[in-house]
Amino acid sequence: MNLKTIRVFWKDFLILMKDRGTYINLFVLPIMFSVVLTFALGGVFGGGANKSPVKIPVVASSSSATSIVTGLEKIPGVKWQKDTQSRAKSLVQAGKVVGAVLVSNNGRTIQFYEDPDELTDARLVLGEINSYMAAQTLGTRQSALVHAAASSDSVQFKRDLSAIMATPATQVVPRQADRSNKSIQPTASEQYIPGFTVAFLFFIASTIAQYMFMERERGTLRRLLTSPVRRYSILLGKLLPNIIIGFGQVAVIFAVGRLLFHMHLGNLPALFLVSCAAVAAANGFGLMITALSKTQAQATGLATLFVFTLATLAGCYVPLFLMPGFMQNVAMAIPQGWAMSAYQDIIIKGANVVQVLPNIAVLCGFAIAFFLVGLSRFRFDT
Amino acid sequence: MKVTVASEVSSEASLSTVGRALVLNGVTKKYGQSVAIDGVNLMVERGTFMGLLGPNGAGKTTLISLISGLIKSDSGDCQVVGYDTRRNAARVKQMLGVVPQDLALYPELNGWDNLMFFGSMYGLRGRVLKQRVQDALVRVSLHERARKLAVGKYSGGQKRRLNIAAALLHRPQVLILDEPTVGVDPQSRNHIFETLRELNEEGMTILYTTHYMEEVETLCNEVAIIDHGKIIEQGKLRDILERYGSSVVRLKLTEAELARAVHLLQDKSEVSWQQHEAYLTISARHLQNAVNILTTILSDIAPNPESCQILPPSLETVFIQLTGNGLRDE
Repeated sequence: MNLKTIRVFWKDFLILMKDRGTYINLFVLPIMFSVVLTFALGGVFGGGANKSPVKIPVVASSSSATSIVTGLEKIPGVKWQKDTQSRAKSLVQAGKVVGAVLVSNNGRTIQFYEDPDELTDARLVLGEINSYMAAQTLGTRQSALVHAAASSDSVQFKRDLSAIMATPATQVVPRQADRSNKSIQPTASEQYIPGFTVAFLFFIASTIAQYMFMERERGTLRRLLTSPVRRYSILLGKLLPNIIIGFGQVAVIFAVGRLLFHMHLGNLPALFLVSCAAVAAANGFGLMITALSKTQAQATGLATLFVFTLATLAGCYVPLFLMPGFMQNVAMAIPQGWAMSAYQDIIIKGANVVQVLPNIAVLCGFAIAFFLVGLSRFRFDT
Repeated sequence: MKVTVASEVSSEASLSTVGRALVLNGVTKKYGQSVAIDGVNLMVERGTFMGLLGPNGAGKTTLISLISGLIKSDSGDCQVVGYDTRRNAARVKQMLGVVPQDLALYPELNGWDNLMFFGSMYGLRGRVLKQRVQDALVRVSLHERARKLAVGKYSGGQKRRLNIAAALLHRPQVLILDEPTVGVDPQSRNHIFETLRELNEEGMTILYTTHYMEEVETLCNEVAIIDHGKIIEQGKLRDILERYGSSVVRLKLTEAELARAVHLLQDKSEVSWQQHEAYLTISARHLQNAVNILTTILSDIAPNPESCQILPPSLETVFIQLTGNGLRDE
């Protein structure tokens, strides 16, 4: 890269910075779409790794009741908070909690006061309580039997009891799901933040075409060609601002995802490398569209058509797992699909650099192919 | 303020001071089956102010593109200040300033930033670049507003002047201007003329294309006329006017007067004439012959014609005589 390339870059960068349309198209629109859709469809998506436990008020005043609460607190995924009966009931009635546990003073009766609108979650919590209480009851009965056997003279009774006690109980062993398992579904922000980042990253093709044709139509390209500047310097200088804008898009949209939706960003080096490859592919795509078009209107039209169609196929707007199998295969034939899956692997499954290397390699392959077509077909002559 | 003149060129360029500013030898350029430039031979001495004339589609822009290295010829040689445009393209570009017909400027940037950018494309930088930009702005009288306004807000004349300034930053030895006064007011046009005269007096060779014949008559000392891709005439302006110039008398007559005048002219071999509706146009190589005929018509045939004009020899009449009256739609 020489000084003239930097001068061309700086000139285009200054012009781009004065163009409000660029900000709207490349920054405001993707942020607006991703934020609005994340808020609007947050409830539909669910999914993701829910790290906040369910809060359940528990009412227990006597010491017997408190000992039961101590036991309940061992149930994972539920945060028990002691409360008064009236307040616990009002929290349920207001829909702020899915249910409340009311333990009688003698500890013999436990009432679960549930929200009828949240029965699914409430019954899950109820199931946990029942399981715990059943285990407690079983343990108490076993202790009693063992005690009875010890004080009995019957050898047969002792032998039978030992056999019964030695019989292993059927156990349900919990296992954490594999994070690389593709069945993990994204939350709304994990879908739309990378989705609109990828979609609008490739929308830079329209800006590249616009500025290339503008240079040609104004006659400034002709003027540049009469000066002793190499053609590659002009081309590279004109692409550089778009590369910076591409990184700016990724940084800004992901920052919004992080700050507004507390979206987990995953492995940052992996995120950076995928962004590098995606920005390169997007710029190559823009150069190719420009080179294959005869007018600015044609290039902008083609860019818009391809960018939005391919982004849809890549699962940027609708999650891929909701699409039929053949469409999921189509996503793997386009750069947006590889960029999208790489971002989601990093964000949702915690993939590292090595795990997204295939995606990076494919994106670089697309970038090289696009640049080769673009450079071979680009016409400097006016 | 010091304004550096065009003759202060780089030491490398000064090595090639021997020879002509422009030499085209048998240059041909084809686009498919269409011959845009057909074996053009053209020689321009250093310090010449040459007008390049031609109807639309005659090959002017192609010729300029060939000289400035934008396109390559199919055959023939083209040299600028002794350097071949194919073999020494970078050097030729350093010696050549091109003012395109388009306002090839960035309207979002101010005049200063525009010139700083174009100057940097010629390898200028730092203080030298700033000084050259300032010099060029002073020359076209835009130094006061260059940093204040974006070029998009300049008037048409100011944009034209800045368009010229952008081609002067690297102090070219040869300046090519492609219709530089299109759409400008008389004040700006006069300022452009003064600037170009100054540059020419300082030693710069100028190739000036335009459709305004009076501009060539005002500015240029040599003329080349191109048509159908060939240079059909080249030489000093006064020689061409002398060689081809005709005095023209144009009369508007009644039908009866017209018939009698045509009858009279059939015996006059020293003049040529054309009749179009009620108009009679008489051309004569010598003004005296035209005046004699007019006097006869006014005294014997039409003492009170509807209109009567006597046009002295001009480049326009020469141009039309050489290239014809037919429309040239590109």
